Amino acid sequence: MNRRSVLQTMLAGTAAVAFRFGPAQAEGADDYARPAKPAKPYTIGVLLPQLSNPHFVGQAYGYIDEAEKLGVKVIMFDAGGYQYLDRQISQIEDLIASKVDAIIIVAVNGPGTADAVDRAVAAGIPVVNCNVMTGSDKVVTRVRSDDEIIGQMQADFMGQALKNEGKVVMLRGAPGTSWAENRGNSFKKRLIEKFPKVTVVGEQYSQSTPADGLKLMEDFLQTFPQIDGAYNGADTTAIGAAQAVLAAGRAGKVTITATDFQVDTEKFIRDGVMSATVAQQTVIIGRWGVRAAVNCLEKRDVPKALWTPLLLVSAANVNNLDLGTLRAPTGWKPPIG
Amino acid sequence: MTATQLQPFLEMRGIVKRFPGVLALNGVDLTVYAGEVHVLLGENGAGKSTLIKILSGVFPPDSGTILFQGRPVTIRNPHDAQLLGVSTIYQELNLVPDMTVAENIFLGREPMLLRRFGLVDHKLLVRQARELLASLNLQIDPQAVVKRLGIAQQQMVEIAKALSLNSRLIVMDEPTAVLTAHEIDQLFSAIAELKQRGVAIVYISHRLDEVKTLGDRATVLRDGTWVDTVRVADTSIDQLIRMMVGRDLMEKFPKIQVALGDEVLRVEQLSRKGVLHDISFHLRRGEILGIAGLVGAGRTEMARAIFGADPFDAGQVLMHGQPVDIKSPAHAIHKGIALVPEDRKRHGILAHLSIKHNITLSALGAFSRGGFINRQQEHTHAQDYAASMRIAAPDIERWVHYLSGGNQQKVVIAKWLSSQADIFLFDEPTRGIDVAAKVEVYQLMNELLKRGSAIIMISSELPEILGMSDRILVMRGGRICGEFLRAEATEENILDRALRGAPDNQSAMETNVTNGDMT
Amino acid sequence: MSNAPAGDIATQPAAATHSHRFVVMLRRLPWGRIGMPLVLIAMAVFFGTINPNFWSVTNLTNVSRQISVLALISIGQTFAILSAGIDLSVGSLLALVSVACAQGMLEFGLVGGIVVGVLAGCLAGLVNGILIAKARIPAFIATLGMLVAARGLALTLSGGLPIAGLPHEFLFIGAGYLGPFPVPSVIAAVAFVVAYVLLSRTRFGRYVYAMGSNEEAAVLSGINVVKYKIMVYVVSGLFAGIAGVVLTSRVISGQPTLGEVQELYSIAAVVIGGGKITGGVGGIGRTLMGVLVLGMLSNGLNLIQVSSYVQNIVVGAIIIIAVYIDLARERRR
Repeated sequence: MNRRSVLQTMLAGTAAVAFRFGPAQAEGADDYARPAKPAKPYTIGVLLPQLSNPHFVGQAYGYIDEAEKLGVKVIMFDAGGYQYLDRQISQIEDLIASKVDAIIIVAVNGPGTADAVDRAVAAGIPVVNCNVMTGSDKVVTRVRSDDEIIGQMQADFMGQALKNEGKVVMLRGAPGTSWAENRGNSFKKRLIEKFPKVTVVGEQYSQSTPADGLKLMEDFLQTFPQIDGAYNGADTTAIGAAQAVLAAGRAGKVTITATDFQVDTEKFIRDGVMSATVAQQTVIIGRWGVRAAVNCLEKRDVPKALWTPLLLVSAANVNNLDLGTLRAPTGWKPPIG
Repeated sequence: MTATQLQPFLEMRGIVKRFPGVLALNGVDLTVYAGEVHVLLGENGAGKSTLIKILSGVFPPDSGTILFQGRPVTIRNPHDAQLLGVSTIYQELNLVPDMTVAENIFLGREPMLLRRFGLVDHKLLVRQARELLASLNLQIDPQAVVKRLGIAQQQMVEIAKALSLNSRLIVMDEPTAVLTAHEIDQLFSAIAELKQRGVAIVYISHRLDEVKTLGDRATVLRDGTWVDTVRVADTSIDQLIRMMVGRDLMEKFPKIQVALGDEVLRVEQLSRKGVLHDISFHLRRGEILGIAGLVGAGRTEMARAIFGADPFDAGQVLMHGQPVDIKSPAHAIHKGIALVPEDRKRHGILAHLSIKHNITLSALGAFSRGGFINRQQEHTHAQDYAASMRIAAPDIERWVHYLSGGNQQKVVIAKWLSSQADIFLFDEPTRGIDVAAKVEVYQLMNELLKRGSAIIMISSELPEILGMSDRILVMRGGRICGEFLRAEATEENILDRALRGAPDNQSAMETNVTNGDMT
Repeated sequence: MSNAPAGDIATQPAAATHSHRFVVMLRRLPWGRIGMPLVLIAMAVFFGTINPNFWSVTNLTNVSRQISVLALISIGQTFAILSAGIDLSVGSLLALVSVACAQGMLEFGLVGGIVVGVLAGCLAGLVNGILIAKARIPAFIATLGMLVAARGLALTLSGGLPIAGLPHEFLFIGAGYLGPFPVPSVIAAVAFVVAYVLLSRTRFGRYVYAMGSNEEAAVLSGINVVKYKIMVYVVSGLFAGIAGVVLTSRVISGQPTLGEVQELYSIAAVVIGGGKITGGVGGIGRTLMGVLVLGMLSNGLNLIQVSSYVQNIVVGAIIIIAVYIDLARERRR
């Protein structure tokens, strides 16, 4: 075992221990219990930003499988991208007109969706907010991973991998989303607190796709002579960044961290091009969203915040993972709506 | 005449064709023999174009039979027509402007080097084109780009193309409309050559003197009906006219004399590099100033320069004794000048607007207040003009696109009459319109004179120039090279000036002004 | 040689069958006028049968609100296309106007922000107009450049991030009601009426048609084509400005990513309605039909749960079919 992988194993262990003390649940723990099957077969509208991103495919599986198990029906809509704000608003309005029982929304934009969500609630439809936050404060609950922790975990890994000195760039992700904002800010804050000699030389928002990540990383590589690490708000851009680094012949010399765990991310971690990622339990996010909605419709109390578990994945533990909560089963396709 | 076969080459029997609201052809017959020039006569709207289009495969007849050498055929599309040996040369030529003469002639049938790879044998292409052009005694460079050729030469290219297709019947639609006398001679010898080869020619023309020179037989149509088919040699022009219009046309050129008023327009040493040289003349109220000259002499350019459509480098224009600086057509109209352009399709009509909207376009100020148009006023005005000019259409809401050439011209003229201009520049005002309509246009000019307007009339038809002008200017190579009063002008002396220039300025070669409008 | 008798020659046999007469009668209907409305009714019946929610007041209100922005930019596009031009920049202008409006609102208050937004649209339109009319750059190219530049400007001014914190009163424009009608729909309806009057009753409107039908002839008829072309693009920018303000209100924030692809839908609306892309033919009423078709399609397909990907295929097919039918009818004339 070389030095690097020893370090990584230690870090994986450290991280695994560290977040047990945070508000997040324990690793892999599906702690928000499934309620009893309701008498009425509710219809729940689910709004997603971008089904072309595998992260949301995982969530979709969670929503749909959980709905099946609970005997409720799910209507799913895809906005087609974080920039299609008015399309998502139209979808909310269409759901209101269809008189669904509840809505689960993964917002494409925080402030932009606030009013439409308010209107849904005013029309008597409870709204559960998963994953990407809407600006509305009338939602029943917020189901998400703790962005604060995600940022910190990436910062911790980065700082230690760079031995507390170096230059990093940030591919923050889609502008106007809670995750791009919060994770990135948390990352920066943690670096300043714990790894002051690791400096952020460049940061940019972009759409959350590999093509955008590729282009952004290429530009970074051109602009900055020295780059030791690249932070990614989501793994979509990280995949593009990894490709850029590979093409520039600097694989392994740039520490790339990310969030989420799609198939390509797994591959890059195995190959050593990407160093680590904070995997969200996407299926669990989906399941908890449906459970919260059903509980609310059955007039039970629902906690205001539901933090879903996180898992740091690196070369150390990439081979011993239970993928059931991280991804949809291989070959599963969402019924696109 | 060498009509050899007893069996006609082409027989069209009982052709009927309907369009929305119009019965264009009502059981028309046409018989053409190989090697004859068969003229198709009739006023505009008589059905000649429709018949020709059916023959060329543009659209099928509603009923009737077509026989080629005794065999009944169906012509579903232009390709079928081509296979049967029919070629048509329209007024709007069918050439690709950016390709060379040789490429145009063999378009779609280029000799190939390697058929599989689509490589054209250029050398062979040019050589075959050269041979073809030579066989028609044409001095055209096969590698010249078509858009740089004059219209006459472009027409010749079309004829060469038809020949290369081994056409047995060539239809020519008003081929001499844009040709000068010299070029017309060339065309006629080309036609003679074609006759020798046994090619049949269907020839449409309004120029009855040409018909007499060229035609073997003539078929007259009127209002979509077949009137008669005669031997040209045995029929007089007056008889032909009577068949076409169904009445005697007494006065072909109803010119009136009015008292001349003061000078309304004076042009002094107008020049534009390469186009116009030192143009000077004056124009008085009540007179028609005819401008004669060959194609390319610069007449249209002069009119456009006066109208503000094109700039000029030197000289000045004065109206009522005061110099004016006309920067744009809008400005010219404001000052009371109107230009009826030569090419009505490109410059005169707005095809997808109604007759009404076309008529009022240059005069909307008169019907509007604060930008809003008074539609009632506009409608009445347009209605009046359409009626008084006898524009033939079911109603004035119809798009101008669907009118015949003659009626379109009337619409254009109506537009200018509405604009309250008092100086009118007519550029080929009666080109492509039928005899009766021509007379109407002349009478219109008379009305204008009586009203106190002044007219400049550019025309390539010498009879028209001689018949309607009070004075005649002859242009050549961008200069004015002759001036004649009505009494002293003859076809000979005008043509002489047009061809050879002023007596003290005659050069051996003709200079042709390249005219962007001609291509 | 026979001379057929004057008068009507029947080309069908004397005893026409019932079905034949019916077909002939069908042919004679004024399809140009009733075609589109019939299609709309058919679509409404189709969607309403599968999901009766289609007919609910809430849904119809939603649709009218949702198509307002497209309706507004399609009005501007109609002017541009009628004049034988095109405005590819309207989508990006939505973003630019949104950012300008939001920024302006934070600095100058509610009304100030709205004014800044609309002015931004007009200004961009003016630039388009000058490039096209004076510098003689083809409309496609000039507005393409504006499409890219305006989006870049929007992103630059906003730093790529949404501009939030707009006054809550602003929501009235995007989400409010005037009686039973959503405010955006009222704005769009008023805009349609104004545009209709402009196009059919004023000199400006007449000149737009003339320029589109035959620009050379229009010049020679004395129309100041430069001036009126500039006006066309300012008008397009103006309606994009109004649309941008409405859209900004709907998302209650300035968003530099708005309007992607919307210019193409506005062109589609004009063309589906029967406007010719080459200019001179078309009108506000026709564009309205096109907008309604697109809006109803998107809403209906959502309600019967057809995926948005399939929706795109359907819209593409409709554009082609609509233009084909139009051309086929013209050819038969």
